[in-house]
Amino acid sequence: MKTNNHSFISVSLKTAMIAVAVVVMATQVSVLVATKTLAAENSEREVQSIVQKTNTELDRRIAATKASGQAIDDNKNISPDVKKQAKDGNKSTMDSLNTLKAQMSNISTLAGAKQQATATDAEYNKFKTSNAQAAATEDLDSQQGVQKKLEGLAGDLQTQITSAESSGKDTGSAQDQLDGIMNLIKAIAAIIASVVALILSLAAGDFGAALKILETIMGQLGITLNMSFDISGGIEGLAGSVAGLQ
Amino acid sequence: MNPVQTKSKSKIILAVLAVIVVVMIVGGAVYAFFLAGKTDTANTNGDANNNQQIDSEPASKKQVTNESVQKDLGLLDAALKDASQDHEKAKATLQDEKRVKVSN
Repeated sequence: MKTNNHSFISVSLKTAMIAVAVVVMATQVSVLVATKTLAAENSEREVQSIVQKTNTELDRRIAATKASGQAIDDNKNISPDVKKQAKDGNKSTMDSLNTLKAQMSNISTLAGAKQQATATDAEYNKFKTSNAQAAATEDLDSQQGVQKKLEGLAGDLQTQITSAESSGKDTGSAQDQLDGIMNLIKAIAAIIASVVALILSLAAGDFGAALKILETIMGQLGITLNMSFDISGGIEGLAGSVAGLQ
Repeated sequence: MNPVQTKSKSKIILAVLAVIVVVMIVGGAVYAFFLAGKTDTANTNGDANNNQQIDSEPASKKQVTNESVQKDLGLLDAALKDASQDHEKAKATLQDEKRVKVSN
């Protein structure tokens, strides 16, 4: 009787333990399934987030590169070789961006999305360089236009001074001022020539070095712009004096 | 001179006068047409000469006046403003504050 009781208790305990084990295992499986589902959803969300971010950045770069290309086409005063170099850089950047953009539609995994994002970041300096080069070229074009106008006005004032001089007027002071203005215009022309040489020296491929050169170019164009403003003021004042001589 | 002869003479004089008036009117009209044609030709030639002068002005040496200098100074101001804007834009491309690093 005692042995039967002991056996019954033992069987009951074993059964209970098996039942607990089954319950625990069942719970763990459901947790595992839930965790896997959640992880998959998170991964999908992350892929979508990276794809969206990368697409937005690529679209921004493509729009900026397109606008730069148009700006290069619209330049009127720069030399054809400067224009061609800027255009080549712009086209190469646009090709790279279009390739990256086309690859975006094939991305389905997180690893693929991360790889594409890294590739997009790696192409950034190329984009920045060609964009800055196009902008520097546009800046140069505008300043060459200003330079031409300054030269034209200085020539006109010289004509007026010569005419006044032939009429017996005292033009010494006006001539001195104009000589100073013409020297400054020559200085601008020399800086602009060095900027042209720097732009043409931009080596394709070495974007880090190119960006440093572009910083120098912007600095020099800043100097010529300030000089142009100063000369413009000088010419305006001289024009008033020369008008009095007529 | 009898009255019949006097009447006939008056008729002849009137007829001659009428012919003279008609000739004068027709002659005047013809002369007016002639003058009008001459004036048109002169005007046409004048216009052509004027046009030629305007067209040929850029080819010859530019006439420098105080007005032309003032006009060019206005154009220079506008060009300087454009150059200033282009320079600021060019500097901004080196900063590129809109950049988003996508591989983070």
